[in-house]
Amino acid sequence: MSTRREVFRILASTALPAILPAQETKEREDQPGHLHTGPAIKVPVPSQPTFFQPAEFQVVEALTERIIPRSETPGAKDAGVALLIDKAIVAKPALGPSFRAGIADLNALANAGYQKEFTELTEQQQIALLTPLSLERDSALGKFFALAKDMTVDAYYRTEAGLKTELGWHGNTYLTSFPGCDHPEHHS
Amino acid sequence: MQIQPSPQVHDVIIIGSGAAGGMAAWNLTRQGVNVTLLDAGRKFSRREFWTHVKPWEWQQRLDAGEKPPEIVLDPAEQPYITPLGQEFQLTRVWGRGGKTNIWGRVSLRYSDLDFAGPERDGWEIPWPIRYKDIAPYYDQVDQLIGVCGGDDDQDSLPGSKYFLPPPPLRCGEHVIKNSAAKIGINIVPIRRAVLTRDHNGHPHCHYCGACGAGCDVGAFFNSSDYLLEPALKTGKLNIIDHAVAARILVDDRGLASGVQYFDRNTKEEHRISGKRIVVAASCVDSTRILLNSTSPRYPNGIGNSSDVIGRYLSEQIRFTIRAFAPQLIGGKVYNDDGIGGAHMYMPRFNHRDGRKRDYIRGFGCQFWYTGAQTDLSWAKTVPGFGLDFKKAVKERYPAVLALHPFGETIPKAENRITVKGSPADRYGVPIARIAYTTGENERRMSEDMYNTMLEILHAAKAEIVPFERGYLEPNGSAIHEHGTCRMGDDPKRSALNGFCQMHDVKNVFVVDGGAFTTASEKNPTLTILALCWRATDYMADQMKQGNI
Repeated sequence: MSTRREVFRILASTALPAILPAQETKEREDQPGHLHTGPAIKVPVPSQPTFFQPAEFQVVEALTERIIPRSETPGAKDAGVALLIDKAIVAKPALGPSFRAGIADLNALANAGYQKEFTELTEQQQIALLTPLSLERDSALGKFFALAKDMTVDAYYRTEAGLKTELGWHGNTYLTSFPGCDHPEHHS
Repeated sequence: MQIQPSPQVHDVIIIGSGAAGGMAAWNLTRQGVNVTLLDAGRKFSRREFWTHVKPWEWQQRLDAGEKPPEIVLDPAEQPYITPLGQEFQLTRVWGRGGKTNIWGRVSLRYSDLDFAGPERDGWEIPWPIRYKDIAPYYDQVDQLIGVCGGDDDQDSLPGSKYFLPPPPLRCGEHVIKNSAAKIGINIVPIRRAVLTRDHNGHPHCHYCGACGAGCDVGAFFNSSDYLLEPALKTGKLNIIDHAVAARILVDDRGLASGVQYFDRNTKEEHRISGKRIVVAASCVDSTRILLNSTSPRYPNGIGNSSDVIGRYLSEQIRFTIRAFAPQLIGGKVYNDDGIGGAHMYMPRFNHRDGRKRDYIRGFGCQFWYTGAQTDLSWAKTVPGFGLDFKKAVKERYPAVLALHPFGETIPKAENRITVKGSPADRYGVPIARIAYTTGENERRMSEDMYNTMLEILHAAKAEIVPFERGYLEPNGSAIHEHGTCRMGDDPKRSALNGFCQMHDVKNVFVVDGGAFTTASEKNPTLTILALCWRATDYMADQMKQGNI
């Protein structure tokens, strides 16, 4: 692996959707080998979401904050997770339609239960609405919750707030030596 | 398009500048041989590497319009094709040093368990060499590039007198090692080409853990700094940048007479003449060049009367199981970067533990991603959401154990690189088609790999992250391609002799992973370096004797 995983992380973080050049191929069963990576393309600087509509964005902010809420450390909203998810969808447009549909379904569910939009619910109502979804992976809303949770995890724990402040990661620095584990009981 | 001829006849032309091409250039020039090296890219600037860019700064830099150096070749520039449903993840680096700029640095010696494997189980042809033939070269390579390791030495993993000190283990690694020992599995210090002391003018590692982005100080072996720069200082090495080799040219006697290449920027065609050719473009690209080098004398590619070139592509099978060590949950968060990747290794033991296996060959295990790392993908499997979820992730963060076994895949004729009928690349040269699958032997071995990993984790009483049993990482993703121009004693069943010299064409040597007769479960780069050193010693000797 090389540091194959590290390489792929670099690819993943720079890759936008591959635009597949039309290959003239005589063998119809063949597929291009570059389906998995793409060129590094200059990313515009969005301070506003580019995929989500403002109302959708508010739902994503509320939903991700319920998944990783603020405690004594920053939550998803503090870390800007909703904007990072917006960027992730711009980078991988295939995710867009299902995410957009999920937001609509979530609002429909909120309306059915409370005659309100998801963002108008109290925290406790939001949690009550999301709890069954977090347990069912087969329904459309269950799948949407799982997707939102996965993307929240990917985004939050790569931010300074999530990785450094919340988890205490303090790597990628210059050390003169590497001390390793200092638990004497582990050194049997 | 105008062809640019060159009147000069080069003594040696090397195609490729990675571990193989760099070693060939270094070893030949220091023996007084004039070398011209074709590199498909340019020299990377270590200062431009994003080594010290924190994970969140990657996105910020990208947002600001910055780009990390393009080390890995974009497949859109140079595509390859696979049959539908047979994904193969090919990672290539075109540029000075090749994949050694970002390699995993794991440096394990092959043993006679590897070299004599085919004789023992009867699957495919034996290697033409044994450990004793290559051992002195392993010793030399260890001393030249600097490899850290311990004082262990066993039948599946020969030791070395020349190791630099191994890095201390992380907490999670201690847990795994102690648990494995309880069930009789021996785990040893990793051998990695990372400098834990200053070595031969190169500075020691500063433990930033970002090796995969390229090392900004060159504290692990890369072919550019460790081999090509010293070779350039001899005045005997001429490197042609942006030279994408296409074909080896042949004269009336059936010997190689030069190389056709294209300028990567201008697409201009060039032909240079040479007396001897060293092919070191990495397994897949070298094979593509050889198969495209057709002529009336060699209708299916130069040196391919045996029809083995392109066949027997062998990669490795891998997966990762993660778990949490109960005694580390909720504990202190260490800086677990170390030398980037595992500090220990589980050598192959399935040949000597007395249990009968229903497959041939073997596997070892590495422990990448153990400890408090930046990859939090496991957190998706922690149940629930909200404050409890956040707390559960935080508690488990210092307790991550990761087991990452590698297994050998056996060579099969139908696992094959071809070029006939392929679309042409931007230079008009047919691209590689890679048809590769793993089979029943690999499936059975992976069962044993899963069982072994679970035994270790059960011994650790670890909380195992949910996984899909039987899952294997995509083919090609080990980035260890071997076997498509294999060496052997029988010219009817192999393309090269034990010195990487073509049976059919005496002035062509193929010195990368393509030359390997089997894949083994080990990372190949150290063995590529040792085999190439041995091959180019032989080559220089043959030149002195006037034989080539």
